[in-house]
Amino acid sequence: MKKLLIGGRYLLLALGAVAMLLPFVWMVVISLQPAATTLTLPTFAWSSALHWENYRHAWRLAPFAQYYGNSLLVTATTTGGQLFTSILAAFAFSHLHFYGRRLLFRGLIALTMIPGELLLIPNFITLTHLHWINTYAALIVPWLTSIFAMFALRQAFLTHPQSLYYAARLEGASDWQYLWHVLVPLNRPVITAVGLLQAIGSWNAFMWPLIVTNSPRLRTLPVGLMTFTSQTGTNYPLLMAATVFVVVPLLILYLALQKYIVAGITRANLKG
Amino acid sequence: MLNPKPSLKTTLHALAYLAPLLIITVLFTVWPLLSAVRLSLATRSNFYTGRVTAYGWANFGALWHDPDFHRAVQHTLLFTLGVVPASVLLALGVALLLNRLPHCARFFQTLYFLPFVTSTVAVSLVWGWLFQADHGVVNGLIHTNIDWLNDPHYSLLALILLCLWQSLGFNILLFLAGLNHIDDRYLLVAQLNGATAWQRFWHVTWPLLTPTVILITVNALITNFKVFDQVYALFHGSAGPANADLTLTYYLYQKFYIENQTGLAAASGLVLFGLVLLITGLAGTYFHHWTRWLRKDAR
Amino acid sequence: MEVTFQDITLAYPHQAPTLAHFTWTVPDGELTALLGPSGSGKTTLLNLLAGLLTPDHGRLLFDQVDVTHQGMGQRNVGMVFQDYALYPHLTVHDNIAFPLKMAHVKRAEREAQIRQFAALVRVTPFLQKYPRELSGGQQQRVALARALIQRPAVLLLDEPLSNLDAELRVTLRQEIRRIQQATGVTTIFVTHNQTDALQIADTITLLHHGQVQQTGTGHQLYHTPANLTVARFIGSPRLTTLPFAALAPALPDSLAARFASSATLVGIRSEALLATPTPIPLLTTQTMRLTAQDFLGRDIVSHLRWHQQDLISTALPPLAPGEYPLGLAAPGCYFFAANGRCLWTGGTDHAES
Ligand SMILES: Nc1ncnc2c1ncn2[C@@H]1O[C@H](COP(=O)(O)OP(=O)(O)O)[C@@H](O)[C@H]1O
Ligand SMILES: [Mg+2]
Repeated sequence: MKKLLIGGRYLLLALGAVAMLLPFVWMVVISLQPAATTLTLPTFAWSSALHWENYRHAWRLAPFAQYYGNSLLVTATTTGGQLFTSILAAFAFSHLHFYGRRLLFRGLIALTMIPGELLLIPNFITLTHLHWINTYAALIVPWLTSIFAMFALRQAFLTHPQSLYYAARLEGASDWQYLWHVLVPLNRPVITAVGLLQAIGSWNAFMWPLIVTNSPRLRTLPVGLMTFTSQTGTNYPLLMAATVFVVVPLLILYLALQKYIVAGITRANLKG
Repeated sequence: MLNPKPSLKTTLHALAYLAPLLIITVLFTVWPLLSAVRLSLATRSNFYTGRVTAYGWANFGALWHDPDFHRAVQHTLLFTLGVVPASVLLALGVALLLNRLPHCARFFQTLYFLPFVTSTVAVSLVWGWLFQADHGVVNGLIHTNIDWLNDPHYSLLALILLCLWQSLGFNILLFLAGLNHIDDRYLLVAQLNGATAWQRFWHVTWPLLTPTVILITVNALITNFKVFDQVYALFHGSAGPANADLTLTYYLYQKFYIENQTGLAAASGLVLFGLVLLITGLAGTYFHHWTRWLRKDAR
Repeated sequence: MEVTFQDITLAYPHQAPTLAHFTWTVPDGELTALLGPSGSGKTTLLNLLAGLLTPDHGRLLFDQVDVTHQGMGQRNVGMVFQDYALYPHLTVHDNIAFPLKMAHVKRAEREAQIRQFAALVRVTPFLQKYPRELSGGQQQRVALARALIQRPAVLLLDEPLSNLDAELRVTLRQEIRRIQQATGVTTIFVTHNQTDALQIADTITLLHHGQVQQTGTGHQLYHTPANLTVARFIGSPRLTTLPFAALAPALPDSLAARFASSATLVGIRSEALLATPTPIPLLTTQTMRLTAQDFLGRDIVSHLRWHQQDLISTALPPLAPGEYPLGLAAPGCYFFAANGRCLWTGGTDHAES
C-alpha cells in the first residue's frame, strides 16, 4: 500500500515534469527540422536528418552576436551595480545608527509596491531629456540599484553576532574594511544568490529595453529575438534555433548554480 | 546594536553608504512616481518636454468612459482569476508530492523551475508554435481544432495556460520552503495521536502553511496584474485577436508608446498601482491577524 | 596603563541608569577581576571602556588622558568576547593576522609577530585550520592571540571561561594568568564566578547593581568584606545570617554592648561553627541540633538548628543527627549595620581600620 502511494507520487510528478519539459523539447526538435517547412504533427518524422545549419542561418540573419554582447554587458553591469549599491545600503541599515533610519527603511520597502510599469512613463521622459534614449546608459543606469536586493542582504547581515563587528572595529578595522574583509566574504552565498536572481531578471528583461531602444545596435537578446520573428515569419525552425540561443546561457547558469538560486528565492521571500 | 544614539556625525557617515542607492532610487523611483501622478492629472501637456499647462481629472474621466480600458480591466481580472488560483493549488499539490520524497526531489524541482529562468519572450514564442491551429502540439494532444491565437474566444485561455505553466515552478519552490519551515514534531505528535494523513494535512499542515499561502497568492496576484511580455510575444506585438488579450499593462504601453497619450497612460498606471495597494493592504491585514492568531495559539 | 572611570553615568534607552556616578580605577599592569552577578553591569563597563558605548556623563581616563569621546578604533583596546567572535571565513593564521592587516603592517613583520603570538598562546599547530575545526579552549586562545597582537593598552576579557567545561576552565585560567604575566598588559577579567576571580586576579573588584562594592585581594574580600553584599557573594556555601538580637545574649557582654545599638545582622561563615572542644578561641559555645548532613566529596555540609535559626557548618565530622555543643569562632563571624555596612569582622574592626 505504502509502496503504491509512493509509486503514485512519482507517476504524477513525472507527468507534470513531462508537461514542463515538453515545450523545451519541441523547441530543440523544431529547430533541427528543415528550414521553411511547415510541419504537421502526425507526419513529423524522426528519421529526417538533423538540420544543424539552421543555427548558422539564424545567427547570420540577425546580429545575434551584437545582441549577445549587449545582453552580457547590460546584465553584468546592472548586476554588479545592484550588488554594490545594495551591499553598501544593507550595511548601513544593519550596522549603523543614524537619524531617520527606521523611517527611511520603511519608506524604501514601501516603494517596492510601486509597479515598474507606472514608472516607465516618467522615466522614459526623463531619459528623453537626458538624451539617453538609444544609449547603454538608458539600459543600465536606472537598474543600478535594487531595494529587494538591499532587503535580502540586510536580513543576511543581521544574522551575524554583533561581537564580530565590535571585535573587528576594536582591532582597528574601519566600517569599510569590516564590510569588505568580513561581512561580504562571510555572506558570499547570499550575495551570489541575490546576484543570480538579479542577473536572471536583467537577462530576460523585455519591456524596458523594448521601449528605450530602437536601433539594432542596442538591442538585447529578448528584444532582438522578438524583432527576429518579423523577419522569419512562419519559418519556425529558424525562429526556434534563435530561441535556443537566448535560452541556453541561462539554462547552463541555472543548472550550474541552482543551489544558490533556490536558496536566494527562499531566503528573500520567507524571511521578512 | 550598542551605542544606539545617532548623531550628526553617524548620520553623515551612514549617508555616505546610502547615497548610491538613495540617489538612484530618488531619480528613478520617487521622482517618477510624483511625476506620474502629475502627468495623470495633466490635461494639456507636451509629450517631449513634459511641460504641463492644465490640470484636472479628465484623464481618469476618459478612462472611466473608455471601452478599451474597461476591456483591459476585465481581461486583467479574468486572466488573474484564471492563473492565480490554479497556479497556487497546482503548486501546493506538487509541493506536497515533492515534500519528503525519498529520491529525485531535487531533480523534479529543477525541471519544474526551468520555465522561470527562461526568457519570457523565448518561452512565449515556443508556446506560440505549440498553439498553432493546423499542426500545433496542443491541438494534437487534445484532438481539437482550435485556432488558439486567432480566435478571440480562446486567446485569453492560451495566455492563461502559458502563464500558468511558467509560474508554477516559482510557487512550488516557495511552498517547499514553507513546508520545510513546519516543525516535523507537530506532524509526529498528530500521527501518534492517530490522525490520518488527511487529518494531519487539514489540521496541522494547512493552518501552519496559511501564511505561506497568503504570501504566494499575493505575490502571484501582483505579478499577474502586470502581465505584458507574454502578451506581446505570444501575439507578436499586438493585444491578441480583436484586442481579446488587452491587459492593463498592455493598455498602458499602447497609450504611451503607440498613441503618445501620456496622461491616459499615467492614469491607467495609477489604477494598476491602486489595485496592487489594495491587494497588498487586504492581504497584509489578513496576514497580520492570522500570524497573531497562530502565535496566540502556540502560547 | 591605568584606567579611570570618573563619575560616569550611563542609561540604556527607556531604563533607569545602569551606572550612576560610577568611579573606579584599574591599576596599571595588573590582572584585575571584575566580579559580580549577572546583570550587575560588568559588560556595560567593558563596553564603555572599549568605546562601544559612550557615557551620558562623566569621563574615562587612560593614564590621565581623556578618551571619553574617542571612537572604538582609536583607543587601542583588545577585547576577547564571550563567544570569541572569530571570523569564520578566515583560518587561525588569518584571524590572528587581521589586526595587523588592518594596520597595514608589512608581510614579513606580520608573519614574525603571528609566529610569536601563536607560540605564546600555544596554537601554532592549528594555524591553517578554521575556527569551526577547533575546540572551545583552542578558539579561546586564538581570540586571545588576536586581541594581544595589536599590543593593546588594555586587554578586556568578558566571561572568557563561561563556555568551557570544568577541566578546561582550570587550565585556561592558568594560561590566561601566565600570558598576562608574560605580556604585562593591564587586563580586566570579567566573571560572575568567584573561583575564577579568586584564582586568577591580583585584585578583585566586586560589582553589584552598577556599584563597586569593594576592591581588594581575594583574601581581603573574603575575610574583611566591606558589606553584606560582598560577604554574601564571596564564599561557598553562602554566608548564613541571623538577627543580631538573636545572637547577642550568647555573645561576650562587652562585644554585645558595643554593637547593641549599631548592628542588626550577624553573618556566620560555615567554617566558623566548630565541634568542641577546640584549641581555637571561641566567642561562645551553644547546644545546637544537627538535622542533616550532605556529603559533597571532601566537604561535609551540616544543617543546624538553633533558637529557630538555620545555620550551616562545614567544619564538623560525620555525626548522627542530634544535639551537640558547638563553638562559634571569631574569624568568620561578621556584624552588619542596617544599611549593610560591615561593622566587625571577627576582631578586625572596620570602623577602626
Ligand atoms: N543593550 C542593552 N539594552 C538595554 N539594557 C541593557 C543592555 N545591555 C544591558 N542592559 C541592562 O543593563 C544591566 C547590566 O547589564 P550587563 O552590563 O550586561 O551586566 P553583566 O554583564 O554584569 O551581566 C542589566 O540590567 C541589563 O538588563
Ligand atoms: Mg555580561
